[in-house]
Amino acid sequence: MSRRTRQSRRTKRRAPESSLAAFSDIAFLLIIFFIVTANLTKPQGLITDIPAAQEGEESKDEMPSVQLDGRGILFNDKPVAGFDELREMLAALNFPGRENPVDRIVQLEARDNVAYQDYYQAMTAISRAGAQVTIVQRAEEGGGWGGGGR
Amino acid sequence: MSRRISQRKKRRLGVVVPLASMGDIAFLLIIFFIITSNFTKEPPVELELARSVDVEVLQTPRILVVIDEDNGYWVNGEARDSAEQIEWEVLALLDGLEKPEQRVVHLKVDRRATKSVYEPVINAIAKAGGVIGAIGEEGSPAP
Repeated sequence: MSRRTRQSRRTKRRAPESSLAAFSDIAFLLIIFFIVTANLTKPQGLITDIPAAQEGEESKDEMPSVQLDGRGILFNDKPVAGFDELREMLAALNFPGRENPVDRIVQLEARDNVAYQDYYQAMTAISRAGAQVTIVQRAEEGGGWGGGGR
Repeated sequence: MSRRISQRKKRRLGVVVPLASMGDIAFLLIIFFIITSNFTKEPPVELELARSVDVEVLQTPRILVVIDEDNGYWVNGEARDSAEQIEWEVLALLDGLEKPEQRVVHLKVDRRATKSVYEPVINAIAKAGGVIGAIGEEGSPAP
């Protein structure tokens, strides 16, 4: 058999072809699945690194504190008109400029009847001001603020 | 004359759609959806989220803890009975993760939930070593 005839036989062989139409059908089915199941909304919120509560550890009076009693807000035992004013008072303390982490702690205390809406606003306001939230729990829950509250 | 026209018609080639590029486009779309999708398991409950002007866009979480209107606890879409259970589960899920950004636990709470329900969960996540990503909506609270 001559070299020429061998070559001509080789060239006659056709390369196997895969059906690309079915390939794109599968791809579009996958797209439909992802469109139906996807949730493209990014969550909104604020990162608040709250330290784990230590039982028996007493809160310190010299630390700034935010208290929620279900009717209003107290900042360092003084009434605050609203969360906007609280934000201003927290911003005035310049927490990001404080080097010692202990100086950046703000205590958050709430009464049992406080809804999460108010708690959330206080928590995010403290975190946004560059401070670290620590949760204060009374040994006898349901009691007053020590000073009788407002 | 009519014969000529028919001959001309025969010469016209059929329109060929290149299907190979269709598959490429489809796979590009799939890659887009895989990257942008949020695969976190949400519980089957309706929530009214708390609002605040201090929120920002957060990354998709590894762990999602939800407290619904009926004071029900959920971790990654599955119901839990107590804050202690949440603490142990979060502890297990965070095992081996060192970086703070990896230890973020998203907390979604219905805005009407009371302190006796949400504060034990916040403490539980903190005890488990989680960094709380408190989920809410942007804006002033509804009256």
